[in-house]
Amino acid sequence: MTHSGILEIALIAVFAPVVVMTTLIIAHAKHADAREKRDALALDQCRGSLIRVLVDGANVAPVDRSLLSGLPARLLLDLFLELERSVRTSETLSLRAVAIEFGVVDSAELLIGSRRWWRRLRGVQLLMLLDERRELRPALLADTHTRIRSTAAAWSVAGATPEEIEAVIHLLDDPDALTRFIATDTLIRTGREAVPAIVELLANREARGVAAALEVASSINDPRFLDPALELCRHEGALIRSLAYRVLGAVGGTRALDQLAVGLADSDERVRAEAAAALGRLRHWPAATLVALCLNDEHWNVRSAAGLALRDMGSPGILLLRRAARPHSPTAPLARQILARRDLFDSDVGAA
Amino acid sequence: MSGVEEAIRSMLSISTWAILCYFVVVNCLYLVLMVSAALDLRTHSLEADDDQLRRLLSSPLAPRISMLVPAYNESVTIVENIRGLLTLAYPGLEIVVVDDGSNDETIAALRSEFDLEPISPVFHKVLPAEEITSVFRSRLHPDLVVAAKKNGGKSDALNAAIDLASGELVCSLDADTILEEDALQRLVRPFLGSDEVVAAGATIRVANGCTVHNGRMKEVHAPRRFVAGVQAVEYLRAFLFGRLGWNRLGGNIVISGAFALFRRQLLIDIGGYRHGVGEDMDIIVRLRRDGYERGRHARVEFVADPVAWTEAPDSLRVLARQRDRWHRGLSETLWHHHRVLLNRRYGVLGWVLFPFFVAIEWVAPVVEAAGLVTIVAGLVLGAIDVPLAALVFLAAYGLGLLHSLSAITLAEFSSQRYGSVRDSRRMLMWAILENLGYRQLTVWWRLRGIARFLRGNTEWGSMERRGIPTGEAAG
Repeated sequence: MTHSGILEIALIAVFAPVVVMTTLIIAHAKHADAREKRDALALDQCRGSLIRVLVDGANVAPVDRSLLSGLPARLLLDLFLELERSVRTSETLSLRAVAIEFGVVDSAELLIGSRRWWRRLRGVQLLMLLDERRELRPALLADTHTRIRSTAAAWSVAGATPEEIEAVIHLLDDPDALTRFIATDTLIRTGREAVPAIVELLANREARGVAAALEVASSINDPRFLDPALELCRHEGALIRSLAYRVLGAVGGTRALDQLAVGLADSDERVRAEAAAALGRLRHWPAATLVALCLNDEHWNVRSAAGLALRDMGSPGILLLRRAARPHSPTAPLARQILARRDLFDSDVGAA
Repeated sequence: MSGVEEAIRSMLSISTWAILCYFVVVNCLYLVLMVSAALDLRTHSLEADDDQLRRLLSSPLAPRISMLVPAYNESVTIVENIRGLLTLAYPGLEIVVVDDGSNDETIAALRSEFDLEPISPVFHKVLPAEEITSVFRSRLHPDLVVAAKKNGGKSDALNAAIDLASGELVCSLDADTILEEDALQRLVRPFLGSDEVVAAGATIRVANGCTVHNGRMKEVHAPRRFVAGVQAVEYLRAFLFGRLGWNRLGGNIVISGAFALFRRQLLIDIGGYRHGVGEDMDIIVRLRRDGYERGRHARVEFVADPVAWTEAPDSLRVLARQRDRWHRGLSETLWHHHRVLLNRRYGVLGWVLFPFFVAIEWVAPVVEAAGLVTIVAGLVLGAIDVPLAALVFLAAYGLGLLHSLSAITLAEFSSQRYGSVRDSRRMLMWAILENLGYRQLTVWWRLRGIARFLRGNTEWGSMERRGIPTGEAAG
């Protein structure tokens, strides 16, 4: 084939897609513009109707009813999603009633049965916001797509059953990082109702999701976590141990304090720092001497945690810091920094 | 025809074919990136995660973020910039401003506006940076910390800010970057629940032609002027399929420092920012190398959804300096880390990313310049015919136009679309005009960057900015 022949083919191969894409861009821009204008007008009108229902508590007027009935399903769903985020609790019931009346909840339930995950996601988002059809939650928590599972987990904060809490706990080990995050967050928000299930998980030291469960435990701060946390202080993983010490710092009590003192000598610096910080939070001054030894630690985060803990322990800790700040002492630079620490949050710093 | 003439003609012909093949291969690789980017963008736009973003605002698990704001002689704009950052929707956001030895009223402006109180924080000075002389905290906004230090340059100021920061994550930001209110909520997502992600970057778009109100983007329009317009096309290409495409193909080795998020401890572990002109890319390469050397995953993610807006140079003179610096930075980073290239120890970084950046991003201006010279010489000496010359131009610029249009198409069908038909037409026009002179200019600027790198030039040059006027479109 000659160069001219190749050039002809190449010209077509390049410029045909150029023409197609140019046409596509302009056509889509025109279509999107027109659709946005149409949708904006329809949404505005329907938004007005719904706001009247919410504010006045009135039944939906015939003209508003016909407007809402004529709105395409995807816009109706968008509108309810938008308004649900802005309403007070007292108005939610009205919005929910209208949503049921206009089949929005039924539409959402249909979407959940779709094979396409993004349609199932829309459905579960809407049910979550309206808090309807809770009986569908267990199945959604086991959905094949990670976004559905995570959204269902977020929904489970509202009145979770023990089975749902168990299902969310299983998500602590989900392959998707965001789902694990949301499951952890959900369990923290669920609070004490989740404690028995978390205690059971923590009792199995080899279980996956133990680290996330310890994060939850340190936030919920329930004495039932003490025994499993004490046990996990002897775990072979440093991350688990450090989180276990954090739980002890949250729970407190004599047994926790005794173990925290032991943690100051752990082989891992994260654990030592966590133990020192916990003793400072608990203001356990009898441990001040042991904490002061950590001012010589080779790791900065341990030294600073120890220094700040001593400061928080009050006079005994301050005394030890002053000793540590003596000239030529290797701990002097940090000790002086801690003693000189002056920040807006300190009670001894008054407003100007 | 003498033997020498024959040899020259033969060489020109072979060179022309080699250059043609190079452009075809390069554009095929770009096609792969485009397909990868399209898949990612589609998944992302279907997720529509506004509810999960809002949840972050009240989650005790949300990682603390410290914004790092190096400032030098910015008394005119600093207050407005900080006000914009204070309105970002993210829980417990810390803002660390480091005044890098300004000789204007930068600190005075901050003190007056934000009621700063001197403090003595406890922090560990680890990274190389000039001495910090004083630290303040705002009584009005307790999460705003301002430090004054001796002048040491941008990298130096960033290192000082990292030392002072208390967040688990730190965010680098250019002084004039405009962020959307929920930008941080979106950019933090890859870090949630995963220790593998070490850095994340966002889409940077050209603010020229847009309307800004109270530090927020109010109306998005395509630039009206040529220089800004062609850059808008370049940025779409670079971010929407250059960076996004790599997410599924081994991750990125460069994200824009105009808006990027990092794990603070890892930055400290690798020694912080190095002084130089390519610090954006250098820090990412070092983070990824560190991951391989320590035997752990170190992913660098690009998130298409949060958008940061920046003012692009609107004069060719300033743009030339910028592109020269960028290519010097690329040269510097590739040379500094040359041991990574084709090194088994560095996996995808050494066998895919580095070869790509060397053979395509770095070498491209050399090949393009050689191509122009070869074609002209070849035509003059009769070594190549016009159709072959046209084929080379088609491969270089025709396929380049195709990629620009692909990026505009991706933007059009995603949340990145411009608002109106007029803007779409304008972007199409800039995409076509880009290849008629502008692209050739960038070749010259990048070659200059390579030459200056080889001569050891490390200057930044001055970047003049007019600012985007508030309440009215400009550019």
